[in-house]
Amino acid sequence: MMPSVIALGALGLTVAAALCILHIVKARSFADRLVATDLLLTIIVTGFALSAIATRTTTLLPLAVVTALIGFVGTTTAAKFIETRGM
Amino acid sequence: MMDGDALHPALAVLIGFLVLSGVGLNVSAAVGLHRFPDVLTRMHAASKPSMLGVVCALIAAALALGGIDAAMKLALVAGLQLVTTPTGSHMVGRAVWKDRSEVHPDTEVY
Repeated sequence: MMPSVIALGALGLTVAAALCILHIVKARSFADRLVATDLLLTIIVTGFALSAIATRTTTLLPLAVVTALIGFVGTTTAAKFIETRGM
Repeated sequence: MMDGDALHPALAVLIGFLVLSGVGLNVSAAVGLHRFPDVLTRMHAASKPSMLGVVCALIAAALALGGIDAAMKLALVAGLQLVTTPTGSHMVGRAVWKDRSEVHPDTEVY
């Protein structure tokens, strides 16, 4: 049962990431792109959790921590940039 | 870490349920990104379900790996997401609200 659940989860995450990238391409404003990029990074963290379940190793967990931190720093910096310079 | 020994069936079902609900919430967030009319509503659709989804997936990973070291790392990621996603969304929302040209006329802000 477990491999098929992992495969289904990976498929779902691929669809979600593809929708995010499509929205980043199609977005009209910078803030729109920022929201989609934040969601993409959250999906990547979910993917790291999924890969930890699939391989049963903790090797990729520090990458999940780093990705979460990069998402926060990037989003707040870009939001500050929008606030000062406009969209 | 359990070194490859099989999981208890009930635990495997619980992990499968958590993984699939986490992925489903992330997919719904990505679909919401396309279905909502402006940045504020898209942010509402994107940030809330994805946060619950990532925490579900991280709990599933902690159950599957089953060690205190992995659980601590995953708790760190979950805590970081729970603190930083609202902060980032709040800052984006404030930046968008300052320049209201992007806000859809039907969007009501309380």
